[in-house]
Amino acid sequence: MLRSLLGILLVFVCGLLAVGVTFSASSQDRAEFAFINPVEPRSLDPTRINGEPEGRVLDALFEGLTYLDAKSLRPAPGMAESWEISADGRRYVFRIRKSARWSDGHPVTAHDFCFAWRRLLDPSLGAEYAGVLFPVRDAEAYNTYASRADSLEQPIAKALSALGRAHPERIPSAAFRAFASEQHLEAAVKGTPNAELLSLLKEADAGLPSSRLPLLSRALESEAQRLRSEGALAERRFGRETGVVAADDHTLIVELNAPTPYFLELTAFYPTYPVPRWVIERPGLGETWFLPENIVSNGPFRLASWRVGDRIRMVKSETYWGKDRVRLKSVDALPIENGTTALNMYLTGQADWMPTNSFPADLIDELKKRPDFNKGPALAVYYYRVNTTRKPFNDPRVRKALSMAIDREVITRDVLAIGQEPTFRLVPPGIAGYEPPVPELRYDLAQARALLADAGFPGGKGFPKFGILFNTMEAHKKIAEVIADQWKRGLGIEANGYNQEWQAYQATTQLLDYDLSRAAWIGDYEDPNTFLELYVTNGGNNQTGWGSRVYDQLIAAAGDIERFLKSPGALLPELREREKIQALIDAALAEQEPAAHLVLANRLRMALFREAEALLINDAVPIIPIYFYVNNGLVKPRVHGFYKELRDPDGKKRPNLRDRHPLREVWVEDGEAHGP
Amino acid sequence: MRDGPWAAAARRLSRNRPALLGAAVLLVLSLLCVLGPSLLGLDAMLTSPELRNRPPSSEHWFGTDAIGRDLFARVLVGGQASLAVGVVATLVSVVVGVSYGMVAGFYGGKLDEVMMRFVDFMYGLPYMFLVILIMLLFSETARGQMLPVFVALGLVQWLTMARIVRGQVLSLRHREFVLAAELLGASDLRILSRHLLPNITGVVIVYATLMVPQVIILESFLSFLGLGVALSWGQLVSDGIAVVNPVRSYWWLLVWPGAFLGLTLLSLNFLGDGLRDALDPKSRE
Repeated sequence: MLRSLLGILLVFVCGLLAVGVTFSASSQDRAEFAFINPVEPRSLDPTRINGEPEGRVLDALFEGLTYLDAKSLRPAPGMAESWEISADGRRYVFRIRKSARWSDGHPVTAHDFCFAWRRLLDPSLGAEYAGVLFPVRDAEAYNTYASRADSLEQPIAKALSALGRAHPERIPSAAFRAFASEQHLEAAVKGTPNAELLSLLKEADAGLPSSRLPLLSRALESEAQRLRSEGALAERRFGRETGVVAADDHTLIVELNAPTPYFLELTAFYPTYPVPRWVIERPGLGETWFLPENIVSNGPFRLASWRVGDRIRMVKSETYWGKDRVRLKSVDALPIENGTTALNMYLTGQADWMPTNSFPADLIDELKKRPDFNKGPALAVYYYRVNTTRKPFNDPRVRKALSMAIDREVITRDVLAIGQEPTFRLVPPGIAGYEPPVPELRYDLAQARALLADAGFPGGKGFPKFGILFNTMEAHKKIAEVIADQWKRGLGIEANGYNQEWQAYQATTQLLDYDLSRAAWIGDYEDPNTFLELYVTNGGNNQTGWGSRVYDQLIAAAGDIERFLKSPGALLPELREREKIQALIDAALAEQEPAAHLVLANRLRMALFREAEALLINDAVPIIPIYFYVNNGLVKPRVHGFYKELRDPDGKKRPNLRDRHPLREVWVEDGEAHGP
Repeated sequence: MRDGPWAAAARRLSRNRPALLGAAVLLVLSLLCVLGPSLLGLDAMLTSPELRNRPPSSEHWFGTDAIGRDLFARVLVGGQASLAVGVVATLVSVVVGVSYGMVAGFYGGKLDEVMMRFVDFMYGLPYMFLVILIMLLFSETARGQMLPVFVALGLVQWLTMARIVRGQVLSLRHREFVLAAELLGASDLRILSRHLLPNITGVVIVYATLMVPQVIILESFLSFLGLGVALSWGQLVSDGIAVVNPVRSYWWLLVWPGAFLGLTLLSLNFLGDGLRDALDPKSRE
């Protein structure tokens, strides 16, 4: 009896020991530098991600042709040690560093970029950020033409013949417009050179006699054929003969459609990073190629371990060309979603940096008094999307009334209380050369009520109760509650805020299954395009159902300013500031000297963006801007290489709008202890 | 025996101090929650962000929350929701559970077999899963309203009730008074309602009283997950917990709704225990 009891006890003790040993072995010491990274990365494949938390890790693991220098956040030579830009700004020749190595010792070559960029654009991968490369020749054709041809040949052709059967005599204008918006016709024929098709579409917009219908179907058919053959051609050529070409192992030639002033910033942006072809194509790896046991990277750090829910551990790469300048030996990214937990970890010295909004919003009044609290302007905007496909939100007067009845001061001063800037605009301040339009809306309850009455809801009577969708987060909930309260008191309408988890929220907004939804956009680069291109018809991040031909043309013109200079005709009469823009066109055309011409062309480009933003925020209002973010965060004093203020090579200062702190140049000095 | 079973039960209950105290506290709390906001002119939704996170004062007795809403008003209005959910969901489950259990127990045989296997099946499903499924049937804008919560909780809470009632009916089914009624030609409905129902009322009342706090807790739990009523004690507690942290705690956001919730649950449990003792004296011996 005693013996068997002893035996049981022994087994029990051994079990306990085993558990204890396992746990102590699994608890790692913290890295030299640890930071809160509020979300667990979805993937570490540069073509498969679109979030900030993933970006922070990826920027440490990989490096593009250029990288952003920490002190200026301007592109500096990365994998490319130098480059030449042709006089017309359309051809870049990059010289790849001979000392550039992957973490397994392979040299980094120009072919790695050709492979990575082709992969980013591969339509079967469906990368969200494929559009980043559209300035490159043949990129858009490779990525989108085949699917546009499919939609022209299949659903659009079918719907058009159904439309013809439904209206045997003449297709009325309204029916045609409904068909066009339902089938995303505008997006399918975007940029077509077929003049006959364009004139037919214009005619159909005002009503089309059925005798002309076969003509239109044929024109669409031939457009589909053109897209298909050009898409197939682009697929064959891109990365081999056109767009991006490896002249030899160390020479990469990139051809652009039009001069793109921010192109060297794009090459420092993670979707354009090179990827190790021999790892990705190794049979059987598939979606696991980026796990620690498989991944090969070329950046200042390499991935040592990844424990989901605990930490991503990165250690300094010994094969990185600039390893002498990397001062951190190890870095932890801690995926802590809960603000209170994150703050505890920071205060107890388990984390050195809490980026913007990773701590509990309720504590801002207390935290902003701390000496290690950091704040500065941000290139980001918080706004509400309005679902313009639903009644009564399809009426711009309703959208304007909603916007004008929000007292944004209360939200920024008292709810958020870090000094955010209330706004009726979309593009945040601080972009060099961009002068935003003057908002015509302002906080004015009387006028908001008048607009709502005009739209058929005097005193809010008859206005349906609607929902405000936001992704689960305390601050979004508070803002939605305050705004709903303001609408109830100001306009007499009832709104109800409700939350969804991030993934569900994204799906719901993509399917346009909401009335109003909270949204935010952080600029990917310092140019108005990163905000304004969101609202082109059927843009992937538009998600309001709104679209405007003039707006699309403005964004397209700004994207290829030289083409616009040659034929500005059709667009000009529709613009508000047409004299000013005409003058800019004349000046740019008159200037022959290339550098001065580029300056003038850029000024024209900014004027077009200004025009587009005015259309968006003053006339159509498919979005209700609320405030511009500020960056805020907590950084331990032991951390160095964090720059709040950036200094350009020419000495000009500007704020660190994107709160980016490349880890390659961060270091820690342990003057003080790790503790709080 | 001079007085009937009900009077005797009332007598036994009146001797039970904790149960009486519980009943009194419940009465006061319910009156306060139902009448308080309108009598005192309180508005639970009025935001005034400039007065955010203020501790209790003569102006705001319980302090204010993160967007300056009066916490006293919110605790009272939240109490309406919590109590209403507790009572209504319990009623739903009583109606469903009692009729289900009585039918199964009375007819027995194959029908009983099928009905009770269905109950077993429902027991086997994780109830959170069921609740979430039921919530999904309602539109998004109904999220945070009371109706989905009533339905969702009522529909998962009736299972135990159905089992208990079936057991009781099964044991009464073949007693003499039921046989006598059957021989006299009483219809099934009459037997169920006149002869069986009164005999199980005591058990049902006891069980229902103890179910109310369970439902209130369950609703608080749903609120934690963001599925509950938009403004209830559970939601307020959940909001309050979010601001417990090492830098600064706005204690009133957690303490007041927590105290009201705790007090209500305690009172309901005291009352339920007292009722069980009073209505089912045998259980004490």
